[in-house]
Amino acid sequence: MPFRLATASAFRSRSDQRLSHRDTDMRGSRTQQHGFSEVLLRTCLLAGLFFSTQLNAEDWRQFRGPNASGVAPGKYPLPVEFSTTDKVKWSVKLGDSVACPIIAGGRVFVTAMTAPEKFGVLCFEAGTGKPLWTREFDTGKLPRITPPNSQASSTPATDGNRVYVYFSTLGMLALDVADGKTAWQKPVPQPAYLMDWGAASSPIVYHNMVFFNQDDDLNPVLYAFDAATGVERWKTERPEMLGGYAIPVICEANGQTDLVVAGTGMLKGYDPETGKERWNCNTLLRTIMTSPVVRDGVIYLANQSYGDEKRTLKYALLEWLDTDQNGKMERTELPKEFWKRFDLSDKDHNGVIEGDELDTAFQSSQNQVGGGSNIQAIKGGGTGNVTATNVLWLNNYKLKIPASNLVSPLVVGDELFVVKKGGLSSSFDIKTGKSNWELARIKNIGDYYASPVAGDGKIYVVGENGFVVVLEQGPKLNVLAKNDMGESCVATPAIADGRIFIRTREHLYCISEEAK
Amino acid sequence: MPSLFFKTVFPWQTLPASVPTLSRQLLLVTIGLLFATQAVAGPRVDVVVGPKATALERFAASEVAVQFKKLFDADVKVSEQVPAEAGSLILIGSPTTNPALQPLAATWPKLSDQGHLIRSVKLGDRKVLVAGGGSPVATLWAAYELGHHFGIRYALYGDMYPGEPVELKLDGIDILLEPTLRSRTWWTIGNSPIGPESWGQADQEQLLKQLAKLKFNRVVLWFDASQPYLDFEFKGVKKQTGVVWRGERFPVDGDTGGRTAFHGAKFFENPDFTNKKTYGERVAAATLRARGIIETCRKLGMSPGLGIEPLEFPREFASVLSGGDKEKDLQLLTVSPGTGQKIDDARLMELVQAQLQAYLKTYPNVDFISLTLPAPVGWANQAETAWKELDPQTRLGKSKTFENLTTILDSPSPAVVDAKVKMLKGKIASLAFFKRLLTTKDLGLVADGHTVKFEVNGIFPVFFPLLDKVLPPGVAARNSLDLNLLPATEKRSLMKGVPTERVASSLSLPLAHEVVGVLPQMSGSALKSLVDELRESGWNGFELNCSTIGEMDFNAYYLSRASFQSELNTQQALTMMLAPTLGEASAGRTWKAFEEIEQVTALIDKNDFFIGAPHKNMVMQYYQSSEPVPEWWGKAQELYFSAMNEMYRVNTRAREGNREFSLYLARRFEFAGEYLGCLMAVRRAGIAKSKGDTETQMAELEKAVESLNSALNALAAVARSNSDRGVIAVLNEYGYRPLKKELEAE
Repeated sequence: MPFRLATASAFRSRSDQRLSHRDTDMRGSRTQQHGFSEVLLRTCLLAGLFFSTQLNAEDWRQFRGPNASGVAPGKYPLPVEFSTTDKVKWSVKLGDSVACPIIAGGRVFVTAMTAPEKFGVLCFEAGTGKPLWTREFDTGKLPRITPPNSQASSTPATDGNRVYVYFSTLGMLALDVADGKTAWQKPVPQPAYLMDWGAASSPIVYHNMVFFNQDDDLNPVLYAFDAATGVERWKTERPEMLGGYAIPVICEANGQTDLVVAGTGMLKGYDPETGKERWNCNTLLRTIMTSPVVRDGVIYLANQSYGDEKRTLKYALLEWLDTDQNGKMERTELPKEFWKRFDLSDKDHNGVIEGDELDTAFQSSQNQVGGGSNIQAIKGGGTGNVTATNVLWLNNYKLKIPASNLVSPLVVGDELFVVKKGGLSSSFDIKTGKSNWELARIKNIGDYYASPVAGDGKIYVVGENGFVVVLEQGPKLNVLAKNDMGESCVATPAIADGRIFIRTREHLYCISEEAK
Repeated sequence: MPSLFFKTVFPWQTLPASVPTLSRQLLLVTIGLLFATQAVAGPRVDVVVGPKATALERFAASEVAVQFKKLFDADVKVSEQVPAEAGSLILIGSPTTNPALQPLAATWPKLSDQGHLIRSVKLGDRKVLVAGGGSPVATLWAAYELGHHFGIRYALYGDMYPGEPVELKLDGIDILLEPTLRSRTWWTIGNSPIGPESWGQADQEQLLKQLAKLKFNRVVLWFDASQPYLDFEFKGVKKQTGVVWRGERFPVDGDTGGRTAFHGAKFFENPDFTNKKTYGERVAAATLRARGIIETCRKLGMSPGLGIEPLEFPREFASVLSGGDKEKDLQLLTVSPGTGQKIDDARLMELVQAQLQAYLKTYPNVDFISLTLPAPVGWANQAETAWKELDPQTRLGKSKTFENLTTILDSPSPAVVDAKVKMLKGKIASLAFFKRLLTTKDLGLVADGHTVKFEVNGIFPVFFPLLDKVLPPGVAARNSLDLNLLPATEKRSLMKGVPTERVASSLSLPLAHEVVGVLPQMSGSALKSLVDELRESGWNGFELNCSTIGEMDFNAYYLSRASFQSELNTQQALTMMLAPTLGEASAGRTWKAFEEIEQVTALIDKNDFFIGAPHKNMVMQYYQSSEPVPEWWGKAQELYFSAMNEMYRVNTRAREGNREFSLYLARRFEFAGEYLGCLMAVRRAGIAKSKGDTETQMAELEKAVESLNSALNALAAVARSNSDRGVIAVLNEYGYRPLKKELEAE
């Protein structure tokens, strides 16, 4: 059955999406480094290609789609009830991965571990599932990770020309969308995590630049690569950060465009052209794994970091890495990657780090933030420390915590929606932060890793147990359906052209009303 | 490496002339180095077996090759002659099986059939290592001992290789091992969804390989009459009952806690029985599977046997039995004699013999049959007659009168005493029947001419001093002290009474059997105490009949080592097991975790031995009660979580491999803590229900569901056998779904 014919109005409606969405989608180059004619030429070529092949193609070009919002811009109807056999336009068995699918120009790109030491990037025709190309890379010896993380954890991003893929042992790769050929490959230092969580950061593309924030426990860095060549445009070290996984987002506010990155204790706005820090807001917590969401120049965050505000990294180290539980850290108690740092931190050279040494061995003395939980809205833009000026509302929680440490919030309509372990959901008014409901069950008990996505007036919440709960978008909790995808699911789904792409641990399903 | 050499020549011969000379030279050197590096693999090791070596000795050589390749990346060559120029040289076998070892014949130590050695020696000018034993299987154990020497640790789930590189050093080794416990038996199959009856043939074989590495030497395939492992006919009655898990099915699709463990399957099942719908198909699958296990045992040098209950029959044989009050199992699949059946009924004896003969015909390649002595209470009224029947032959009455026997059983509860007395009387009647059965001429004669041996299990400790009188000569005993480890230890003095010089006896160690159920329990101190007593009392060995074997890796390792090293205690054994594989610091934390599990075990033994036993009401029974939550549940949960934390610490420390060991235990203990959390919430929901407090009842039911879901997910994340999957499937059926149903109904 032919899917919906493209119409000018449909395309216009996509073009009219909020600026922040359009910009991160990079549908046309606007970089000032290229001459106008070149820009025009490329735009025409791209547009020509676009309309000639996929007139109606709607894209989802990175983790959580447009600017990591999780909201599908299209108005196409999306299925409510489906399964591994019902409403399945196509499906394919892949290797293990927790990375999300992305879609551009009618093509779906996914990653998978295709063999124990082989990393695959695969491209399918979005409408039919026809395989278009596959690239496999030898990974070499794989780093330690902690389940349910996968070695194939990073979600790729695309600008429609190339797919940008990160893998811990390979660095950043740019593959041609047409045939998967390597355009460039840039080494990136392997991240090191004290608790062996493993890599899981994902790139984004904006203005001909690939941004990649890798907050690890050793050498956190925000990178900007030239999308066409892979040349490093700039890199900004983030020494005050601990391991975390927030994806950068673009925020336009107060006449400036910021690359906004959440990390330990701080939300920071950077100049995307130079990597220079413009502002910071110090309302975050120790460990930040969820990503912020931007809407109309406001940045929304929902965080939870284990323990109370006094629980700095030191306490986690003493609890989990101090093997002999003597209240001191010996060198051998740390992963080898941290031994050099250990030696620097052992200021009295007595072979252990203890007391004050321990406070600052791995956590910046300037950023001794602890745990807790909060949900907040921060006005974008500004300069310097905006903590006192830009926080629109901030809900702190000690008991009955609605935010998850893993699942990013969803801002859709006038609501901010969060879900956490146990299938406990909460919804807040984005203007005031007042709750519509708190800790109400969505009838799917279990763990949650994937972040919710929305489209067509519905919210899709994927549980680790492989059930996709569909909620009605609105200020009241209304569970519309609970759909069984048959196996564990950690990846966040993608939505494009009325199709929901659900990446379970081993499969990719294209769910659509198109399916018979 | 000539072919490789030629390959290295071609690239630089074809370099274009435009490449500058210096660059060209550098490039050539680089390529040369590259290929030189590739050409030199690991060290060369030659393994030599005798030309007439047995299959087990050849297998031993191949196992050394596999292990050395993995340990040292060695280039291992197995041959029948000592090469003129060898790297490191290993000789497999003994002077009688390997001519290369003939020069050592004069100094070769006297080894028993289980004794084995690894020893560095000089043959002429050459340093060699010898791995050999007093029999082919002992030689295989020597090969495995060599791997152990270099840091490989054998667990039930697989091998753990050293975390750090090991130096290949074959000199200075001198290890000679003789067993102090000669019989090391593993029971498999059974009839529980949480036990090895769930394991497919491939999994069974993998486990048997690990058991061989752990030097277990006997395997019992344990069947019950409801299963499809036997097809037979008696006087026109044909067996028709043949089901797995007494016919129970365990769906795992839809909303199933921990379903990731099942990889999309809609039912939990033994893969060997998938789509086996008819009786005939199941019998064919079952016999194929059992024969496969027996064959694998043979290949690995282990002695296979069967375990059956001879007085239990499929229900269709009810018509053959006398009387109208036959005993039936819960699912009505099997029948046993009732009060109306005389113990000297010739037709019953004929039926029992026919069933036994059918087993031997179906599985002729076994060495022994272990017969379970039942305790038919229906036969209690024939006990006195039976005792008299046993007495004339054995002068049993002089050792203990019938009255003596039945009055020594005590319990705070008269009802329990009464039940125990009835069971004891049933056992006496059965013993008389067994004695006649086991003296039947040619009972164990198999068609190929060999005779299987018999042993009896399930004998009450009260009979221990009388074993040589109640059992016919040559029949061994497999004895049990208690269903759980700590109470068994308290009764260890009873072991001293067994006339071990006349009756070969082995002790059934109550570890992780079906009744222990889903909750991990262990006690290193109790285990050592029993093992010490086995030695002191001259017992032949031990038997393990485990269902959920997840936390049995260490117990199996300890038993394996302690069987050959009397002085070893459990903490030393744990360090020996984990120091090379997870690091010495990990061993200390693991010991702490195990001590906490030992405390839980004591709490369970003291308070509610059956708390983890799988049955349909295992969770919901606590919903029906308005009794307060027992305090010890909270303590036990605390201990499980504390042990979990310790194992997570071990896991963060064990960075270079073997995290499978630590993470498994961390999540297994997490499972247990969450499971107890579920029971506590269920009990609180029950209390609220009894008070009409619906809000609390619902909130607690939600907590119960969530805790059980977390428990199942924790186990699913590390499930590595169908015992684990069985636990998940059973708890879904007996706990998760009933709880959800209750929640949704309210």
